[in-house]
Amino acid sequence: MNDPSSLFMILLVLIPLAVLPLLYLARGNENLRENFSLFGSFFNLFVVISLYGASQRGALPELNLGYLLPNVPLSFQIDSLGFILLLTAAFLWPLATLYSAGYLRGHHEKNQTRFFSMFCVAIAATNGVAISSNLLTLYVFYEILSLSTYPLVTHHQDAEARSAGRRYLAFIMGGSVGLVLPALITVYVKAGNLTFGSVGLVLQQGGWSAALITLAFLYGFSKAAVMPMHAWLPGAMVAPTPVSSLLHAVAVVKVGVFSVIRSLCDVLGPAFLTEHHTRYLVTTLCTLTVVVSAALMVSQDNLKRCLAFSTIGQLSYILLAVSFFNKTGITGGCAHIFMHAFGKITLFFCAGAIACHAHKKYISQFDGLGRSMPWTFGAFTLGCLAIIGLPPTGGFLSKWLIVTAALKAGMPLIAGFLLVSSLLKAWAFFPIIFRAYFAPTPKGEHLPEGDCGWLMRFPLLLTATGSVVLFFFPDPILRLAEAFAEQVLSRGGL
Amino acid sequence: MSDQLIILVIVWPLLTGVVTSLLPANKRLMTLWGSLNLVALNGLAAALLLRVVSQGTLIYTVSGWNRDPADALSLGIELKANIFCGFLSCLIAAVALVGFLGGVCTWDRQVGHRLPHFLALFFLLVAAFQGLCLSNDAFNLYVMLEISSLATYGLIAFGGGRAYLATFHYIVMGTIGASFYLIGVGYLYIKTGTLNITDLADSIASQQLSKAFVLALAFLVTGLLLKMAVFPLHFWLPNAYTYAPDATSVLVAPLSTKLAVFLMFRILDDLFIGVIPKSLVSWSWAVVFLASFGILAGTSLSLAQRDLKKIFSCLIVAEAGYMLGGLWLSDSRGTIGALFHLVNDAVATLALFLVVIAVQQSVGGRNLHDVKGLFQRSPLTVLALILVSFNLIGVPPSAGFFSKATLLTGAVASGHYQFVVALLLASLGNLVIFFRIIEVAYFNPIVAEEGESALSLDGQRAGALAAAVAASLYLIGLSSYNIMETFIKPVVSL
Amino acid sequence: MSFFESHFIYGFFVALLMIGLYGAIAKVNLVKKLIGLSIFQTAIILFYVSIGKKDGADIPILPYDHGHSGHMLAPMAEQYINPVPHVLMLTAIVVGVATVGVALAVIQRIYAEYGTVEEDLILEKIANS
Repeated sequence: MNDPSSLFMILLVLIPLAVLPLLYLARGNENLRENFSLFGSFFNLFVVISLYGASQRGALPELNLGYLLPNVPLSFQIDSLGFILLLTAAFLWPLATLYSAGYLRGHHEKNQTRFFSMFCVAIAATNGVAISSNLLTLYVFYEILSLSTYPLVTHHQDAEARSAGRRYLAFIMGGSVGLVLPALITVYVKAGNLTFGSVGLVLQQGGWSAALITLAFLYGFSKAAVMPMHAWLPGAMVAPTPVSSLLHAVAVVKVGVFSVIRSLCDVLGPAFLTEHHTRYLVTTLCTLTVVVSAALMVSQDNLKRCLAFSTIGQLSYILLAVSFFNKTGITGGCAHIFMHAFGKITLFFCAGAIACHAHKKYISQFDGLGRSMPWTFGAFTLGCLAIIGLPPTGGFLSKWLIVTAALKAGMPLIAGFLLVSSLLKAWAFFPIIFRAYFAPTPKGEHLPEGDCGWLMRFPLLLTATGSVVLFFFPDPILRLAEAFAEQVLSRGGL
Repeated sequence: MSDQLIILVIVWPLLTGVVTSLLPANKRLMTLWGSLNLVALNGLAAALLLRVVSQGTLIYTVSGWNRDPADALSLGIELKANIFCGFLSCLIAAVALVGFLGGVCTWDRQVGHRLPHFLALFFLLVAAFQGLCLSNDAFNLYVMLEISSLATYGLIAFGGGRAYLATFHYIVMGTIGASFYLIGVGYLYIKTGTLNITDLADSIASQQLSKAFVLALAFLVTGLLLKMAVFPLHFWLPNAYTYAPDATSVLVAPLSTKLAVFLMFRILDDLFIGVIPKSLVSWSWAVVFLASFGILAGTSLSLAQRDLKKIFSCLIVAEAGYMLGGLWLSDSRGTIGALFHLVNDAVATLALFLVVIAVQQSVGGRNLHDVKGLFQRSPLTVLALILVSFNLIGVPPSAGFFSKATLLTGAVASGHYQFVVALLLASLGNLVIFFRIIEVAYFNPIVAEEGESALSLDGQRAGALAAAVAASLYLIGLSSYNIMETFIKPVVSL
Repeated sequence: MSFFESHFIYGFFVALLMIGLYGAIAKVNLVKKLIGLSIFQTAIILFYVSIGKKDGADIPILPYDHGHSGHMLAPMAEQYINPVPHVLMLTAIVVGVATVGVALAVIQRIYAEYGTVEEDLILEKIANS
């Protein structure tokens, strides 16, 4: 029987879903509707934090809701990696809600209720992924997330959205149905169960099949956007900016990375990956993605596309760090999930604010904009620092750990690549900031008066501040990441 | 009294049919009369299931002939309900009721004044389906197969126009298929002197597997392949189902091929227990290959269509491949998966053809371009379509995901990787098929001049029914483990 | 009895079966298709009836019994040909008649619809419409 206290966990999935009918009922009244969303998000934050508190006092019990396949229950348990994703989503959901309200009203978007509803479903699915305790449960929520974000990506319902939606589905569903599902079934048939941490897959003839399974997980969870499965991400930029922030910071890509980490660390396990040498495959492919995406980023003029390529690189940082399978690496990688989320959401909020307030999407149009929108560009600068990995932002700490891990793992070349990619990022971002602050305003150009509205300004300032706060008080996140690293390595036989 | 339940389940719809043909063609009277009788049938089937669950397999000798233990030959007809038969009988009754109610709104348009005759055949078909499910006599099964086919011919021919030629093709192929089955039964009778399936199985198990048995198996299987419409023996099906009246296809499409699958299961698992994996391994490879090919062919055929009903009819051809392959994997998980897929697919097909009715009633056409603006006109229909499409793509937690996962498990465990590949490609094919429809419904709004015609109540009702049926797929999915463990696993003897 | 004598009936059955199958599939005229189908079914009926045959056995009508003690006669079974296949075929004949009836009705409707029973002409008309 389940421990009654474990039922508390399921609230994480139920709260966002419970908001849905409220949103529908309040569809005529914008303010009431957004209040319901906010209320849900704060309630969710409260539950996550109280669960976190409880977990500090002792491990949380497992919740088992009946079997899906023989030996594979629908079961939930939160470990430290789960908390990182939960906290990321819980902190950013209220801010994203506020911001969306400002953005959608500023843009006079249609179908706002559908937008907020799907947002809630996506958060529910993200929470579900975070608390799953076996691969099949995770897969269930992963798929729900994929499908719930389709209407968000295609929100404008025009030709452009249609083709972006097609690409999104082709890559995401193609990956999950075409690659993850067979890999999952193979692991299940060979190992008999899918519970994280106790799968113990042994292959009779290693080599190729091990490589295939590893690659199937790495590419199949295509939300992690390891090249060449990244192609959906820049395309999905046609969506409204709050969606992009959901895709790139809060939910989708983080769930992708989370799922890959789960399948590498908790399903296949470090011992398996080391024995068959497939972890080097992960390292290589991710390094490639990091460098190529950074190079592509430099050449973008559309700010959102530029940020999309930056995201692709950052995601591979995380996977790269984990693939070293040393304590520093896993700690750094997992912490980076949280650190990067704050940096990237700041940048997207800024990009949205610029697009909404100044109606500018291209970097080449930003001349002098920093002087008229000082708050936004202040936050933008901090976000850039976090993404490049410079102090005083949380991004610096996690990146420092990742580079150290590469050196510890005896791969100075990889460390070199990481630094080069950081330089490329700096090369891409600093001209934007420079242009915005110091370039003269072009003649005849009408710059907007004042900064964006408070509904948008408040969230982006808060996330930027969050980035800085994380530099000074990173302990809770680092502790969680470290606990996960220890948990993985103690099992791994390394 | 409860011993008689099993014959009542067959005789009740039969007698209903006879009486129906004498009633006046009054739509309201017919609706009431038909639904009352079908509700009663559901009650009987449920009682039968309860009885089987509580007291084990029920065997009934028709007209009370005595099975003399001294007499080796059992000449009378025997009915047998094991736990899966009971479940299937309930499913048939439920599908008949829902299909009947869904079809009511199409009577005026497609059946007209011949309603009593149409419904008489409808009930005859239900009786034959129940007979196919419950009979334990090889020759009686042939008779039931032919009664169901004859009723279906008549029901399809009600469509008029192109339905006539389609019916004729169906008659030719259906009769050839049934005749092949009959030849196979003849061979078995020569070798064993009995027609009772239990006795036949004992006799086959005690004798050496001679050429005559192999030939009998070949005839039985070929006949059923025709009835199942497995590619390349499928060509009668798409046209017959497409041009049939909607009230016909909503009963025939979900059940007809599924019962042929059930017969195939009985032949492989009741008659020739363990013969395939022991002596005819190469057959297993050949048939699974055929099934894999059939899945891909059916999906591609479906991709090429633009008529919604034809798209769904072609999908039935593909789905037959899933179940055929599963049964021939020679792995208990494959068989369990196939039987569960049978249940799931019957419900999913019912929902699909209800969607066709709903689309037809709400937009007045069923071509791909007629669907545009369906989101505004009948959101419930779209909801139903989306829910079923997820089921067919295999998105968890729908029933389709679990049946597919179980089939995949069997395929991986028995090493039939071509079947795995076919299943996954078909899932992706279904993704394209359904998103093509959903895209039209979602992205193409109604042009203003066409006007928002008054929403048809019938369309809304059919849409609601379809959505309810589609939603039940998720209930089935979530209880899939229990269904497989309780109703399917006990009857699979592999 | 030579192999040919004892198996001749099977050869006959297969030949008839194939003629029927050929007719049902290869003929273009729908009525001829139906005739082929009937031959196909009849072949099976003959096959079944031949199963019951025993050398030197009589028709299975008991001269002095009213059906109360049939099992007493079991030892005498070889004197009578096996009636079960015949009884089965009575049902099969009924099924066959029903099939032919339905098929003829459908052909009539096809003729009313297209004015011909040649399949290629019908398909042409469908393609043109």
